[in-house]
Amino acid sequence: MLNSLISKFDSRIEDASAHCDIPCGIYDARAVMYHAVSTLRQIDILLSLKEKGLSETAFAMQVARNTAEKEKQAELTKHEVRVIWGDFMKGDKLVKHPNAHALAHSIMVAGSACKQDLHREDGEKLVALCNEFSEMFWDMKGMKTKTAPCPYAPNVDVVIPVL
Amino acid sequence: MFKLVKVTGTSMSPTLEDGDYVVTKKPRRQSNLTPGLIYVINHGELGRIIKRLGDTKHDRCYFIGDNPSSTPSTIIGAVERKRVVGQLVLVIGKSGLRRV
Repeated sequence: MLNSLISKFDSRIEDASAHCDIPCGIYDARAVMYHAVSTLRQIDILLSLKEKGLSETAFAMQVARNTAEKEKQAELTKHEVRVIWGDFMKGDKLVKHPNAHALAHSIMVAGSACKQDLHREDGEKLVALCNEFSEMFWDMKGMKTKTAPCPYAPNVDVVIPVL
Repeated sequence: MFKLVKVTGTSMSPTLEDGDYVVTKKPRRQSNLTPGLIYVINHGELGRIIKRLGDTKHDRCYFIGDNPSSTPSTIIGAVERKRVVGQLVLVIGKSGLRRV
């Protein structure tokens, strides 16, 4: 009875969480980089299709396939960033990196730009922002990073942890 | 100083159920926390949580949930004593008052 009486003033009472979720604690910004670079790669492939001398049908098929993949990879980039930003980057970690929210939002916008259109600079911007995100993430983990070109096309520089 | 807090979630079940209210008191001395008692913690990552103190080591406290499917202590991690903000003294459950 006392419990139900108190519940009427619920909005004024602080919560203490006893949630049963079991966060796995496995977060890795390399997944972000993988998808961001893949997005740029798909943009490059699409921009080079005209030079391949494909038949009209083959060209249309190739555009459809690579466009779908470009959009998928851009969306996966956004997804990976959302998970790390939402589930990992919180609490004390934000004290040292107050820019995390703005950076995550910039990646959402850059990822959407890659989906909407076909400009290499959009893909380059996405990779650059994800590099910044990766550097921030590994710093929060207390890990050092280095910048190195990925050993496959588009051979852009990526920030990776020194494990 | 006493405080009324609402429990959300079931990681402290069967001791505390979702929707129970608890009365907590500020620990008199944070250097003197007792393993086995239930505390409210302002956790750096998980927010305000309520858990049972499993062990202490120097300035660090290790908390566990009563429910086996509770967030494991490895995820909760070592908690600084200064983050412990309340000690449970009374439960106001749906079936009435009880001390834990």
